[in-house]
Amino acid sequence: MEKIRRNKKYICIFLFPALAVYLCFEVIPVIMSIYFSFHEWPGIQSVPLEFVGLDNFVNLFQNPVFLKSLQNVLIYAAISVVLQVPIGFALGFLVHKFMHFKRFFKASFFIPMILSVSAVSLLWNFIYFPTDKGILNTILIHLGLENMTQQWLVNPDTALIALIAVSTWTSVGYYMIICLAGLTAVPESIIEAGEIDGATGLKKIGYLYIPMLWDSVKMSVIMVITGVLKIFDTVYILTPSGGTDNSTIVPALLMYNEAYRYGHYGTGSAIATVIFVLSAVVSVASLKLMNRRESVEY
Amino acid sequence: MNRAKKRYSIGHIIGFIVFLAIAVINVYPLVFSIFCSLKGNLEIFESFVSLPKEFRYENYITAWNVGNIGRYFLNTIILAAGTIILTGVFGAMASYILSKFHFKIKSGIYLLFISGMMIPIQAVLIPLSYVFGKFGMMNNYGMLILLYSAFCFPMTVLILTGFMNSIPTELEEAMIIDGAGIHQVFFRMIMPLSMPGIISASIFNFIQVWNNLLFPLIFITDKEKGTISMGLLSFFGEYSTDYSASMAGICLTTIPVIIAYVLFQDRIENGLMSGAVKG
Repeated sequence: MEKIRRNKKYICIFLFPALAVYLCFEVIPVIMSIYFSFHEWPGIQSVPLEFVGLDNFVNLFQNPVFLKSLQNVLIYAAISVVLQVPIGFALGFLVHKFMHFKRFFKASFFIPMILSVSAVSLLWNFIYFPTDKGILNTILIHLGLENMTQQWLVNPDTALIALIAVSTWTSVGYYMIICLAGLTAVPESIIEAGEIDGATGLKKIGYLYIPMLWDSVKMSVIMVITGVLKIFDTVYILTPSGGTDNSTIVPALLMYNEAYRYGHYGTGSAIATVIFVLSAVVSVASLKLMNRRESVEY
Repeated sequence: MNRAKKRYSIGHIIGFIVFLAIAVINVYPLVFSIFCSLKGNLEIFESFVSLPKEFRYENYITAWNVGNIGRYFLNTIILAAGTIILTGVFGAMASYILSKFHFKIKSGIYLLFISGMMIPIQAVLIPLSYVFGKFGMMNNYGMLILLYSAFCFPMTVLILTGFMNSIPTELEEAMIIDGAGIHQVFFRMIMPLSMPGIISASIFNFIQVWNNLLFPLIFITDKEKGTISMGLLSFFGEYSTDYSASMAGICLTTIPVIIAYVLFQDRIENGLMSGAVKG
């Protein structure tokens, strides 16, 4: 038996298809992308790549639009973490607590996540419609808040937060599910022991559930951040050119526009490399940072 | 502790109502889109909250015929099905080896697969459009399925190796002693036993393909081969003044998903949870 488990022939045959596809379509292209980022290429097959060294990166970090996109994506990520994880977990606790209509509640928070991003974004386009006929503006007028009506996606002060609201609407359901998954693993006996020791309400959540769910919280935070760093769809559909004064430009959109609109494939690759490095660094760093709390012993 | 019999207090009821209100607000955009899809264009702008005065089903016919939604739907299903089958079979094969076999670079290969979750899809676009363009592979569904699969393998391998680790080795050993080869063990025993895991992974992968906008945007130039996310966008672009038809188009793509979700709610939630727990 042990001999079979070390049989090289089987190992190779079974591993080969998945590994080959994965290497050819994901790993090698990433390496190629890094290689591309040191070259300039106009997107025409007959024109060869031209080596330019670090020029693409130097230009990139001197480009105010790119710096703005980095700033936007960091704001986007920070606000998303602060909104999505607590809201998602709060909903998870509530769904866990209420015995009635559980399926309805779960569905109502979760459905936005499985709808296609284009459908969701186009829908929100109507909500943010810039005239006073837009849904959000209509609601504000009915509430007597006329002076708060906005051209939500046009006004550079509100555009980014409007996009964050869409992302939050779509993804809180996922963090609710992660919270629920974590809650099923929390042993009832520990909670009851805490209750006997006098833990109630918020104390129970703060001192019992949160430490027990710390792994789920950790994972959610990393998923929000890595998700936001590569955000493209929502931003592209709602503000295709990156908004007024680049108020909603994000690196992925800038990359798409540079490469596929203006034919600056080298610059595009450099941006792609930055996104890749950034999300790798952030994932590792946030894991390290949050591991510190893991010393909580039960 | 008699928690089950605890009576609901006023606080509970207020909490429940607040929670219900949040849920209703959350669902409102979906209800709104269905209302609007049945209204006339002018009616939409009279009031957003009202029920349609008369049901205008012709909006749906416009969206279906002009927007070609049916075609895009079918295309997306083909791509998703291909991806699910490919990742299911190949992913299970690789996971089986990574879970049950012993060799030197095993943990290295596992890590290679898992770290793929950190790779954003933007990182592969430019090199792939270079290669696809060079070898005339644009609009090629075979290539696209391979591409989608590559991005689905990390999560699939993560879920399935976790799942297969819990299958006792004695079962395999008994089959091998009875004279079965490894391929028989895999297809007759490991695959059927891992089905719940494979289904979970497939649900995850389906959502990936269904939602992906960038790949079709770049690698499909032939409109007839477009996917739903892309088709909806171009329909919206061309018919940007016909709001009711646009809304009908949106509904045509969201309603089947909602129905599927309601029918398979537990399966889908468990599928996504298993991705969540083992992550």
